[in-house]
Amino acid sequence: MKPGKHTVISRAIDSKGRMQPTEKDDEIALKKTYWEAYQQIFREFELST
Amino acid sequence: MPTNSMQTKVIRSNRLTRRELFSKTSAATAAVLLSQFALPELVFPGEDDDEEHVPFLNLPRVTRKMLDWETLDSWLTPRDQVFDVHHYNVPAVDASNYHLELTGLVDKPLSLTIDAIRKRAAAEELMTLECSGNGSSPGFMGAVYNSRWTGTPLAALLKECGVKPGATEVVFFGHDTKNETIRKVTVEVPFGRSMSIEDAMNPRILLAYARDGQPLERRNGAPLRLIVPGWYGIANVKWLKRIEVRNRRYMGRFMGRDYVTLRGERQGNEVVFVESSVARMNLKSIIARVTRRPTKNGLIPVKAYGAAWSDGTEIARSKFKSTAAPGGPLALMRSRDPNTRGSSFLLVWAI
Repeated sequence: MKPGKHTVISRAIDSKGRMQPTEKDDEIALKKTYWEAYQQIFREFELST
Repeated sequence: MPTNSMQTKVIRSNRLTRRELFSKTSAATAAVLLSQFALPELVFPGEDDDEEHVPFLNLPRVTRKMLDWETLDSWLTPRDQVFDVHHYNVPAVDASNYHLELTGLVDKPLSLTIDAIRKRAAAEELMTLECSGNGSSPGFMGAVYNSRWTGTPLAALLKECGVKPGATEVVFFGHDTKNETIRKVTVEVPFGRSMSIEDAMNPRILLAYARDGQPLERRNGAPLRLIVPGWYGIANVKWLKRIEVRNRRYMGRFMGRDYVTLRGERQGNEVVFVESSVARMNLKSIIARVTRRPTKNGLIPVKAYGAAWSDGTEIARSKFKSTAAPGGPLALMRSRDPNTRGSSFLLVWAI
């Protein structure tokens, strides 16, 4: 990777083809309570030389 | 391909490090080995000496009794990183006078001491237990842990008692209580959760008295708690007092008023809001930590370590990507879960 700020994210897929949703997918975006927070999670970090 | 002897060595070793594994085989084979033979002790192997931890900018480190992802190096979560949540009081239950009642719509009600429970057939469950609120904010990411639970299977007890025709569900009550006000009436109620008869007959559900080979801690439900693999923490009732088979839907606070997910669902052109009780865990993954090596030719070698878990459905694969990574395709690691049937942390590292 080049020096600078980067964002990484992971996504799981199960044997039934179900995929971990993003924050923008309906099942997360339309959820109004905080339980079951299984959206993809961004991690930000910075690399310097 | 890995040899049988190599597989045997991996399986027999409690703490075979990645360095040891790489010294005996190629990097590619080692990666395959680690993903295919990811025994609990192997899932987060130690890093190489020249890897340097890169802190995350947007997510704070945990500060108390929760999983510290960035230092995780074993499958079983250290005791001091095991979270606990209680909604009512934290009762001190005297094990020497303890009785578990199994009542309601059964042919043969039972009252069992902790010694009687310990003398019954024992089983173990390796599983991931997650708070359903875990991940709801950047500072609340470590309310999840792995344990080896020991207890006696619930299903066998229910069969022994004989569930009567017409019974629809099983309710689990704890010793913890609190005054609750419902429509201006205040009464003291016990903590309770329920599940259908069919769900309760899952042979993997345990009445657990030990975690990682040690008696339960008071904060984690001593002397006996319910362990329901693949269900969020709220269903794993602590300080068990009574198990009651019923023919009416139990709608205690933690089934019908709290731990209720409100979600909009698209029905044609409209969004209909539906409330559902928090129960089974969802498919999830997380990047646990990122490491780097010294810069070489202007580029920095980076590794990401992570984990995935589910309600027990096998995890087919995990993808990792960097939105700022130069140079084309993003790494994809496949992994499987040989021991814990999907409800498990897994290695999903990428290079």
